[in-house]
Amino acid sequence: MTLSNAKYRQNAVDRLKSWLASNPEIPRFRQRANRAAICRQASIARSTANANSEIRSLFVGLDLNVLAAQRAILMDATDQKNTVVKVASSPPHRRSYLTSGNGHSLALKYLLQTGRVVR
Amino acid sequence: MSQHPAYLPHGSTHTVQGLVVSAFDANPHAWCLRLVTSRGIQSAWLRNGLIPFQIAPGQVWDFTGEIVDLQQYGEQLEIQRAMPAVPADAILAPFLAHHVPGLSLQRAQRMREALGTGLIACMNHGEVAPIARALGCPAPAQLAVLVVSIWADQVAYTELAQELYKYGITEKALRTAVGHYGQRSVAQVRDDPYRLLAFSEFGPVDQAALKHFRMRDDDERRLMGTVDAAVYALHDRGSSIFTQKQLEKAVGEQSNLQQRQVVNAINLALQHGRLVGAGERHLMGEGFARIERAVIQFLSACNRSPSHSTAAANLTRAEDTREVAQVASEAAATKVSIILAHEELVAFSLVKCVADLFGACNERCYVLAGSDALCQRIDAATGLQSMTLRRAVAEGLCEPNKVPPPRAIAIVSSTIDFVDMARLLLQLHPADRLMFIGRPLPHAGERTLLLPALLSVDQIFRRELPLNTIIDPVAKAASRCVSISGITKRVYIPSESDHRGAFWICVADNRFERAVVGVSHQLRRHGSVAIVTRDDNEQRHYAQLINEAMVDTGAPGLGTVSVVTVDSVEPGDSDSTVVVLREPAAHSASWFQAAVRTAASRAVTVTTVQIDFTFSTMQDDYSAQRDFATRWLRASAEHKEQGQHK
Repeated sequence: MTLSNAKYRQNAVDRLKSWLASNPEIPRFRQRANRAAICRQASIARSTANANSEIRSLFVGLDLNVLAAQRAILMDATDQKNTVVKVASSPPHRRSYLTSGNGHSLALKYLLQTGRVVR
Repeated sequence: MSQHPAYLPHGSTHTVQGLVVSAFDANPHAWCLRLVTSRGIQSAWLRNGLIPFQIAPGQVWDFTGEIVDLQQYGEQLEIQRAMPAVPADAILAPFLAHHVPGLSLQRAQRMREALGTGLIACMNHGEVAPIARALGCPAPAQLAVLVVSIWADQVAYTELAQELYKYGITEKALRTAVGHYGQRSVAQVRDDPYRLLAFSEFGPVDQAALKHFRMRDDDERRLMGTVDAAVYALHDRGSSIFTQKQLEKAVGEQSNLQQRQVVNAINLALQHGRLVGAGERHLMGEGFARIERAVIQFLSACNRSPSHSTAAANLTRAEDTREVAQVASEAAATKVSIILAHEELVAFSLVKCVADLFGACNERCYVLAGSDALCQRIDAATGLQSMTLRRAVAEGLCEPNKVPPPRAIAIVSSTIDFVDMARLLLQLHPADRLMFIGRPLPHAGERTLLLPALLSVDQIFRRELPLNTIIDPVAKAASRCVSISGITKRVYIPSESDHRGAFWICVADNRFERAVVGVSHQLRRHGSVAIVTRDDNEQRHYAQLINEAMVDTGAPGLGTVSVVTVDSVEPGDSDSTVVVLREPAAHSASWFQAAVRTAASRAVTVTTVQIDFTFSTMQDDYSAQRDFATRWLRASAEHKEQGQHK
């Protein structure tokens, strides 16, 4: 590897680290850190991110952080299973009618499918 | 001597934990299981009835038994006792590979080797990171989360199964319960075993409650559980709103409670909100009440939200008749409207007019219909592309998680099923305009809501298109039959099956079903045939009969035969209708009228008694629809108080 290439790679790693140090909100895509969006924000070419092993390991760490957060939500949902994570991400107008009161969306879907109430 | 390490010496009882990988009935008396155990693959032999639980692939059990040598199948573990178990370390890898999609056996084994005995602790504590590192595959974190959540569910399921497997509750019911309650499943079931009624039948749950949880016969939870089971049974038959007598009868069918206890149970259920009054004489279950309230609140919220554009309202088309154009433009200007049209063509003309008005403003207008046949007629008459309400619910009207632009939705159906509407609600938002277009059908037994009932609500814009011509000849003949005594009897004659009108055929009780099938087959020569039944139970019965008896001869021009309840079809949906009227006293005259009107050309009533054409013997129910306006007002007032419409 030429010196300029090595420097270029190191710069990319530094940029990503400094971006992470600014404590940003991590963009997500399909339960993982959204690499394309992060690269765009940190001004790193996507090809560089794929080829650079240090950046790859940073992304694996990010994925684990994202999943740890999701895991916490999942455990909450298992503890009181009726709280469904997706409710929060649905548009507000869809929340008000059927999910109000005791009707949580998992129990609600079951009610609509079978006519039976999960107490 | 045993050749395989999995098989221990004969004659001694031993216990082995096994993951079931296949199960089949080897003969009428026993099942043969193939197990993965810590010693390898092993075959096991299970006598029928030894365990009252369906053993299926993917389950893990602790089996106790003896090794026997069967002449036909070789060495087998003959099971004497079995108990559901949490997978031990030795069979962890095959268990995870079986249950976690995307996890191969080799990778699961590598993960187990990497983490050793710590794997179970990691999964119990929900530690994703070490599992992800041990997996070492693309997207390991997702797989690790899946592993942990599946393990948590399995542990909860096993705890529940250990308590209840003796009582005949199915694996599906237990897994669904775990899906809802998660790790609190056992605690919830111990608190009130009748919670399981949401997932299982009453009998097994009641047995478990009485025997395992030692509940008293007159325990409040049991009494209310019995009422719940009766409400679910009525719902399965198609009754959402019922009288107290009907409910008492259903409770009596479910359990051996005395009359006094039944009344007590119903009162308790009313006090605890499990039953809700639906007017002066009717009751409904808590679930249906919640659905109905949600639909009413959505409709009233639609009505209140400001109209964003009235451009469509100002446009009219020259070729439309004056009334239709005027009603269409008025409906386009309001959020929720209901239009009754006595004639189908007038309704279609209105639909076309509305679609054109919105099309001129570049707004999308969806046309949803109650049945496939009606969709076809709308498409043929108007050139629009309609779809059934059920399909719209299943496929969605727009992309998920995307807020759609305001749309107009014309629902062409004379009845509104609240459950279907509630499913549709998830895809609507208050900026949508809703139009209900249909025909003024009579109240017919179990119909959830007819459009005329909505007319009783003052808050909704409503119009009734003028009656230009008389209704179709079949309905006209039927109404004459019902209302006028002494009319000439029109007996159905098979050789004249192409004639139009309403006909009768009276048969002996033991030939009744054969007559229904035979008449249906004869009418197939003249297009589609609908066999109209009273409730879902009768529908299932006749559908099975038709499937068994109706041989498709492959002759061209034979129409389809469908078995329907009167709620699920629109007037004129079939060319011919066979009305199943086994006991006329059990049906109301309005049900009969509605059933006959489903035919476009001819209706044949098959019955077991000579009818005097006055229907003096028929019941005329107090309509559950009459109280709808009161419920509407109550629900919309509650909604207004909560301020949710804002």
